[in-house]
Amino acid sequence: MLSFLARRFLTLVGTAFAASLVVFLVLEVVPGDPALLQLGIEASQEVVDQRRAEMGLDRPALVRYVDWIAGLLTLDFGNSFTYDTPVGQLIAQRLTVTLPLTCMALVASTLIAIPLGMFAAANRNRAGDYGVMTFSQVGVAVPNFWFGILLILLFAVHWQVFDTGFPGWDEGLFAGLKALVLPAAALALGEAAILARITRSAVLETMREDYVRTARAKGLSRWQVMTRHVLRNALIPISTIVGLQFALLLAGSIIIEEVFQLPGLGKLLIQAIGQRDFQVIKNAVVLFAVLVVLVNFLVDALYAAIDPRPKQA
Amino acid sequence: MLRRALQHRSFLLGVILVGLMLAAALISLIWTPYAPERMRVGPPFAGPSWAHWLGTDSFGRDTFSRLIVGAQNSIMVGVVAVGIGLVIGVPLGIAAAAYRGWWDEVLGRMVDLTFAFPAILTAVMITALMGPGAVNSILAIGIFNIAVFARVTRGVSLQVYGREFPRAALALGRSRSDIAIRHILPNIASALIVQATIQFAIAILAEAALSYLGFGTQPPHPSWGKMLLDAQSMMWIDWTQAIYPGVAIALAVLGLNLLGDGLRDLLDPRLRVFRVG
Repeated sequence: MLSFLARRFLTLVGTAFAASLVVFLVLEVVPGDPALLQLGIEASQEVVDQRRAEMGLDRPALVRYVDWIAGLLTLDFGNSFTYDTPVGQLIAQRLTVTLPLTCMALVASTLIAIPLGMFAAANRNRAGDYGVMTFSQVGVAVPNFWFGILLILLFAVHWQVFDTGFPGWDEGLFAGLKALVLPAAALALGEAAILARITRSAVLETMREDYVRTARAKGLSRWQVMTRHVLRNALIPISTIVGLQFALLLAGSIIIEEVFQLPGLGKLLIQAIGQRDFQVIKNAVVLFAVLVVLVNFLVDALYAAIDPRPKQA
Repeated sequence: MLRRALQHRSFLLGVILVGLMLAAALISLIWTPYAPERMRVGPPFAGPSWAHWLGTDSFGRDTFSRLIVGAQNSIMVGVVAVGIGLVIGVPLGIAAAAYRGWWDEVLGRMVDLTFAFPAILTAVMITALMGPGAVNSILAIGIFNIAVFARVTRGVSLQVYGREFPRAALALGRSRSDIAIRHILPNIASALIVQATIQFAIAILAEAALSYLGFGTQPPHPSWGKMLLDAQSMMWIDWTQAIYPGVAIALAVLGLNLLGDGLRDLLDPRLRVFRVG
């Protein structure tokens, strides 16, 4: 168990390093000159040189990379070129929107999908099952940003029960959470659709097991068998998918924050790209990647803890 | 086979929806009611009428014309992005299955690395650097597809290599590339066809998202994602324009997914479809 986790952890560290290297190469070495890109091609050579020196770009690439990584490890992300504030502070601020949004979407998706999937499995090949499967197909096909627009149309424009944008947590917990309800719903739909389908097949597979038949034979009701035996065992594959969905939701937040004009990490990244603020871009991208591999590692660890098999794999 | 296909209802629905999208794109190549990029072919925000079936947008452009030209755009993105994935990813995957060892290990690590960046993040980063535009967004989606097809191909090829006939062919003195083309490819074709259909749907969604963010197809050329962005800023005046492009994307993706699931049922029911976004 420990050696399995240690190996997975080394992979995590390796992937994170490789990701940082790719981001660095792509952003700072390949396309030429970030200073020139930022100032525009009309800028005079002197101005560009001065900017390069300010940005530390006159030093060799290797030195810059090592500096950056050393900074990352001590949580010093450097200064944003456009905001002129520490990138770490910007990111931390933006995470207070993105993380609650992602968590709300994850909770919503799980709470919708697991009962739906169980219901579909219990009513296999009947109307209820077809209903859930239709929801699943449609939910996967509807783009989350369009669903977001529809939610705004209904709840903000037509009924006016929600506003768009984010008031900030200073306005109180309720106001903040309320502003995240529609975005989280838009984000959750697609993942709920996939998770419902996975839950259905995991439950169906478990229902074929001998111990389920035994439990029914010894006189437990369908409901008791479903909750005590089937769901608990089906939760093993489901929980790994829920973990993976966190990463997908995090990525999805990039576009949903744009739809709802939320000041989150995704919005920061899009703005930084528009402003060619490479200091922000490279740190935000690596942070996204590290969060994804970290979540994958935690999922693996969780899986190893509840299921004995992958340890030998 | 044909009879089974005709009895498979969701497969048929998929065929119809994909057929509609293809027909819209083909018709728009030779005819549109109005030039899709011409402004003021009618009053702005005109509702649906005989002259403008789906009304007009804020610039007085004909929405139906733009919508069917947008289908061309989506199909092109899907074909090229999936093509890139197939042409590069499949040989890589077969090579990994054939040679195993360090080559397999390196490829596996590279695929893992690609998946460490969610598709939309990779696409945003690449288009941001190379500049926004249809070509760059297609490339960005294509790069992600290389990883998907490499992994899927490796998995199914390993199963085929594990059987006896590839080893028999090797013993008979056939070259490795000959075995890959004559024996492996035909046996993994159904898996690739199913996966390609699913990736096509994902490519359409990704391109729409990129265009919505302003990194994909550039104005004035119509794309469904960009049409949604324009419509969103104007939906306090006319909400109907925010409906049509979304319905078009959803029906196209639904059609492709149903087609993919149906093909899997018909070609190889045990196949596992790889879904990652």
